[in-house]
Amino acid sequence: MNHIRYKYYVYILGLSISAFAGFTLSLFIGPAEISAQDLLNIAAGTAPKGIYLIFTEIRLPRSVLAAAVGATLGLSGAALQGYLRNPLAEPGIIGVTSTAALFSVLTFYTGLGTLLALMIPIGGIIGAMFAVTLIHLLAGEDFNALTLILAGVAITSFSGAMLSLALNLSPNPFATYEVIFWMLGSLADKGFDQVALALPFMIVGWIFLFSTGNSLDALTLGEEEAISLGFDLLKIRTKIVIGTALSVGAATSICGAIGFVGLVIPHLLRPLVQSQPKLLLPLSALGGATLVLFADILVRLLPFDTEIKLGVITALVGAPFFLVLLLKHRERSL
Amino acid sequence: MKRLSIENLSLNIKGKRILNDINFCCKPGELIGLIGANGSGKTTLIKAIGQLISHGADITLDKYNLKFLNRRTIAKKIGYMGQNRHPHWPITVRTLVALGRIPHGDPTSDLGISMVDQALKTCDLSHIQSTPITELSGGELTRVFLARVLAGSPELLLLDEPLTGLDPKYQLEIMRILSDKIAEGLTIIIVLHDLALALRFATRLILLDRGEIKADGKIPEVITPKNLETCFDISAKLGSVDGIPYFIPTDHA
Repeated sequence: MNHIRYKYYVYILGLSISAFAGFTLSLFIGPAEISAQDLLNIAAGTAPKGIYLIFTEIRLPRSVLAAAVGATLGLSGAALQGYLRNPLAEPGIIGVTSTAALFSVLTFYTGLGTLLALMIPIGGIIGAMFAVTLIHLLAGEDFNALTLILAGVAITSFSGAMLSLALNLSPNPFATYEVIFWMLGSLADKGFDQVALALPFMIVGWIFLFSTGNSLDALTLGEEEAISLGFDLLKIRTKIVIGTALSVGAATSICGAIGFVGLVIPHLLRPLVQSQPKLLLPLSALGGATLVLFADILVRLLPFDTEIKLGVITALVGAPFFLVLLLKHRERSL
Repeated sequence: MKRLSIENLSLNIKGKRILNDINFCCKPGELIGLIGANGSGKTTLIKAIGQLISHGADITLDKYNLKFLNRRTIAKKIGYMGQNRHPHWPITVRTLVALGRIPHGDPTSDLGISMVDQALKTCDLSHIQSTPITELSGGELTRVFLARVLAGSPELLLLDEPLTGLDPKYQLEIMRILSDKIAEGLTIIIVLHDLALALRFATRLILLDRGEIKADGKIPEVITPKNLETCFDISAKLGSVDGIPYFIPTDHA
């Protein structure tokens, strides 16, 4: 028993170190060079103003957001998979991200976002909450893979159609252009004001999701057995809905749609914890943060004139991964 | 001394009467075989006792009315093993058994670990405790689920058809484990379809027929030609060889 716990702490430590390494590296990489000496100067308050601004206004918020958004996506993926008892569940695939995006755009569109910046993450959160509740109603009680994916497709298509309609009717082509690029998912050009808008919601969302650990373990046996172990299904559902909505909604409203992290990370880390949902939660949060931090570094290093958006990179890697998972799932069902 | 008492339990589901005026009491150390034809209400009764289905009846366990206990307290007192034994993730045997300690909040404490060890030993699973449950046979999986409820050290055990799909060796093994447990004072209510096993191991039988208790008592009082004909629509030959009772259904009555 003890060696299993020991191994688990080693994984936590290993992933924490890799996330920290990604975070530190992320501070140094970009068009303007920042050296370790510059960092010391910034800390001492003797750095040139340009370097100081690049660090505090561009690099640091970008790294903080990358870590927070990655943790959100990894954690919410693991929690949704545990709750829906389905390895294919992920905020992007089941339509949570697209609905959060739609509602964020609507807050832009209606002018609410301009009136009060806080309305943008709130719009995202309401959208995400709406989507998680809807997926629950559409997928029914058994949450089998097919109904779950179909429900996800339906929600994503509907949100996509509504988004297209909003863009179509937009009187301002520049705003449309901006929204389309935002939708691709990126951490570029985000400042601490946006971090301050989204991070508190994400942290509260994480607390809700982490609190579901034991109940997700119990749900491994099915809903009836979970009740017999003393859990209230409505409470679990509420925690999952609120936790996902707060964290994914806030993340999406600031960074757009960054897909597949919640699918890939829990899947890769699950064997390390012998599939125990509770233990997978912290690992997936750390793994998600690591993946997004390094993916965002990759985006900055790719030799293209236009920076490739982070959401494009995660989708390019994640979509084939999703297909492989689907094929595996089909083989098991045969 | 009463352990469990059920008073006036009636239950409608979707407008249909499933249970009608169920009343009975159980003592510590009883292994009660709940028998009856398909659709007679056995599973519903087990679930109602375990408070998995809401109802208005008074069910008291060790003087506590379950209506007034919270879910977690009930989970500490009642171990429930349903018919679904298909876990959704390939967790290890030990992890699954340790879930039985969740209501006590101590799956990783010394007490929790020793209770899990004991349950694994009782069900002869210690040697496969690190195996993913997807690699187990049906018989092993049933023992894992039984170990899970035993690990919670309940006062009342509700088992819904635990022997379905098992070969005779595993069926006997499970029943022997349960017989040992009642000797320690546990009360067990088990839904059984195999009447031969019910005759051999149950200390008392309750026969359900269309949601009502048709007979309740010792085996000769319950397994009568008339009850077999009315409730199961069969005749049967009953007897014993070397003190072990047998039951052979012969034909439709």
